[in-house]
Amino acid sequence: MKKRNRKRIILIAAVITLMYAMCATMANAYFSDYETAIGRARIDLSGSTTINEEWKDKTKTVTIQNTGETDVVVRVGIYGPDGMDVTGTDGWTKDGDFWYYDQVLPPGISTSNLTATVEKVPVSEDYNEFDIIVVQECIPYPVIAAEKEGIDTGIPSDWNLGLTPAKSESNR
Amino acid sequence: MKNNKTKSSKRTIILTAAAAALFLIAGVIGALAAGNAPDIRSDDLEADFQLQHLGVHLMENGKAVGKRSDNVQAGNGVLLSQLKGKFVPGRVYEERIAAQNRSDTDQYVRIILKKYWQTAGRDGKLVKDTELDPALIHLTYGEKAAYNTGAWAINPREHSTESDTYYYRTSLKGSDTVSADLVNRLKVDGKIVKDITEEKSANSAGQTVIKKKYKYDGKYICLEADVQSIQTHNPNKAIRGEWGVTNVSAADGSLTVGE
Repeated sequence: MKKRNRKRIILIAAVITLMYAMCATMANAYFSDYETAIGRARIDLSGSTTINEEWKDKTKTVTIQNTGETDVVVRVGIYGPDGMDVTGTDGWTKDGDFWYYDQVLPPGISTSNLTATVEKVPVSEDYNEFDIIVVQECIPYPVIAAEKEGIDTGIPSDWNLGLTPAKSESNR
Repeated sequence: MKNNKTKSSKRTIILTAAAAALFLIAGVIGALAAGNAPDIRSDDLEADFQLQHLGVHLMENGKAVGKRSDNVQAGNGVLLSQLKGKFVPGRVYEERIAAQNRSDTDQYVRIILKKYWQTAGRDGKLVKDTELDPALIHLTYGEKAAYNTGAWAINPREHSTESDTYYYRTSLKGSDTVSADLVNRLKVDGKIVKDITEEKSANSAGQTVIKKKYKYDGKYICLEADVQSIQTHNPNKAIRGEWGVTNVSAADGSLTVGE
């Protein structure tokens, strides 16, 4: 009998404790608040351009088109026979061996014309064939911008930064 | 004997149920008593009872940008919108992260900041890129809030990686109070532009194409901010219960981060 009574008491006490614990848990919630946010930004460092050439009436006309997804700056070297005459329309400036385009080229956009004329090149039996070689280089604008911020980006040391365009948008 | 045992079990069950019922009834009676108390008012004894309401905003560059899962929000939950999706390595951008008390109750706050790189996976979805170093994403601490000695304290127990950091602040008093900036500038290390490989190929026009491939081209920097606030009443229990930390304590309106 004594054992049975003890068991009853323990069981009743356990039930009461459990009920108190449930109430106690509910009574101890805390006041709180929160807010979250997330953001991303992409790095674009790739650049891709193509040379478009047209030959007509002893004149080669060259334009450079941005075929990539990032703004680029370009320069072009045109090499040919003595007497070849190279001229650039709006935006082209010559410095050393290269012609620099003074505008940032957005994706899909082409430069204005660079023309190489061989009208004045003397032709003889021994000298009646020659090549006009066009070399173009492009650098993604973010890399040029980083170079101008003082970062050593490894761009060619002979690249004339003074002839590269400056964009007005604060972020590019 | 069997009958006695059965009777005894029944008695136990009945007694237990009766004890539980008594407990519940006592609680209900207590609540009813409070609700049905006679309407005797005294100017000295009358007091307005108001539930505490906390509210905190996540601020970026002076604007509330955070959001909550219950859609009660001031912002759209987007950071870095001023970068317009792109940025220049090495350039310093304004990025001020702070907290604002949007209720009329004092509260303690903390901000959890995470910075990391992301790459587009095979299915085009952005995933965390653990091969790229988050230390190349630089955040500058606010001038008035030098962390660890000023208004914000870093919790060393929760600062587990370069990318995840927990900061604690003292109380935000009064409505519309804005904390000192936790951080105020963002920059990606310019040396990422030097991580290059070169490829040579010929195109269909017979031209030789030399391509430089930048390792970080097409990668994304990602910044997450999470501001949390708790009550100033009984704060140490709230800190343990709500934030789950044991080395942060409150006293005299300040939070102290222990080792």
